[in-house]
Amino acid sequence: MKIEITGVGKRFRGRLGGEVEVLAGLDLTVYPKELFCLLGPNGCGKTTLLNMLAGFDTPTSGRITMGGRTVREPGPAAMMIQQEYGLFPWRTVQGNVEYGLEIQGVKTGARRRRASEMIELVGLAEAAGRYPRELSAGMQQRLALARALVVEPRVLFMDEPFGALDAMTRHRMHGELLRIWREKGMTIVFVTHDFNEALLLADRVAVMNPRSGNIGKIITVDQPRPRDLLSPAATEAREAIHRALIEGFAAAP
Amino acid sequence: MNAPLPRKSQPPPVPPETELQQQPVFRMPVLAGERVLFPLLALAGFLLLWQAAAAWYANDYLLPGPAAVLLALVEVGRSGMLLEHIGVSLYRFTAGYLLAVLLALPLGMLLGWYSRLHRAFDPLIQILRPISPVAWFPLAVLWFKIGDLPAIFIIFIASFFPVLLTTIAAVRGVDRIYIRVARNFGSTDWDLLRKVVVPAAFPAITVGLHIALGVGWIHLVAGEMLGAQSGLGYFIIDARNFLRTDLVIAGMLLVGVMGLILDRLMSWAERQVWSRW
Repeated sequence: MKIEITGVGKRFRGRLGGEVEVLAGLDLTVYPKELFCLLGPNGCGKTTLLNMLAGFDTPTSGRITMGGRTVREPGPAAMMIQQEYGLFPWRTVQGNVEYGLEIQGVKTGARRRRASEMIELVGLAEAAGRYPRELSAGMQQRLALARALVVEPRVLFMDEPFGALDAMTRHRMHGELLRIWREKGMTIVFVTHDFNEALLLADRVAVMNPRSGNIGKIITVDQPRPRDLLSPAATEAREAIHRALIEGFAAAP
Repeated sequence: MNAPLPRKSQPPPVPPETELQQQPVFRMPVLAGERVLFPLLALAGFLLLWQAAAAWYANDYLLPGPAAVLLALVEVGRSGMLLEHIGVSLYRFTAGYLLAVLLALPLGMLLGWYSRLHRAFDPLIQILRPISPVAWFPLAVLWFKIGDLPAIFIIFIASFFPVLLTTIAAVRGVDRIYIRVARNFGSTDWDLLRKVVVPAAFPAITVGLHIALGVGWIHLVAGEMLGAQSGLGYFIIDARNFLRTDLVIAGMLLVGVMGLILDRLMSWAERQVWSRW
């Protein structure tokens, strides 16, 4: 689904009174089935933007549309995977995945089956009866993915989805995400501050400027997957990201 | 790219952070019989001190020793009246406690969920809460005369506020992330309350249920001193009227032991709940 962001700004009321401008006049288009990455330092407004895209927050100015419709509130067409997942500790793996289907009123039989298929897809079949606290960090991530995907969202938002994982698990999850993305064909927008993660996964990387909250440059990573981070193309893209970040810092107030 | 699936017989390694959180930094080695032997030793020490004090005091009216109390207990136990008193007390306690829980739980959820409602009612609650259940005695007698009702009312008052306040706090304390997730799925308010807020708040609510159980039981004796003709509280008052200090102490000990049993039962139930969340 196509996401269009036009002239979006966001101001928050500051802690000491006055207003803090997090984003201003932001324009951006994410194309259908694209794997799009928002990259930037902490506090650049990545999460704020993602929250607005998913409908959890509304822009102070400008407009966000998804598939031509203005985003007003969160809904199952665009699922957000929160940074801490927010898995329901009182439900098993199966129960967590079934939640979204329960809300949509899917009948018990179909619900069981669809949830099981999704659990299979993320490789958690053996753990279907376990509770989230009995899962490793990597398995929790898979569960969060399965729970979101079971309602067949057209768009997936991910806020630093792999931040809590160790390097090896993260590597494996990158592969899993790409496999699922190819199979399901949804649009993915994810936030990270990890260069390599952006280079490994994204079709395009938007480098956000610190503080000002605008997008400095959009870098296209034109390379087939699985990608080699040491290839000349990857090196070139990494340098471009680096330059964009440095320019952003230099321009920051 | 497929991850090897974990086998059932081989649970995946728990991430190290979790292990650290679950284990205390320093743990005394558990000695054999620590669970049973040590508490028994403490109890025996207490009885010994009590016996020594009673022997030194040498006044069975002011301070009967543990042996005298035990004999008195056996004496009333034989008559069968004791079980009847305990039964009546348990009935009144259960009635007052359940009534409090049934009222305080939904009310607490309502006030916890709607912050406007909470802001409106909080001052009123804070005015009523510090009033000791004992201060309700005159009204309890005026309104409910004699019999079971005044005692049930006092236990109700005593249990109501702990449940209400912890339920409010538990609902307010539900992690926002669960609510965001639920909203993302398009949950209605009713689904949100039923499927997310209630289960998420439940462990914290059990704490309130536990506290209320203790407070309610403490006020049982007091409640049964209000014109009741049966129950453990009446038993103690009655023994005092006959100057049977041994029976007074026997009644007190019974209240204590029953309280211990109730507390342990509740702890056990709580563990069942917490082990899942």
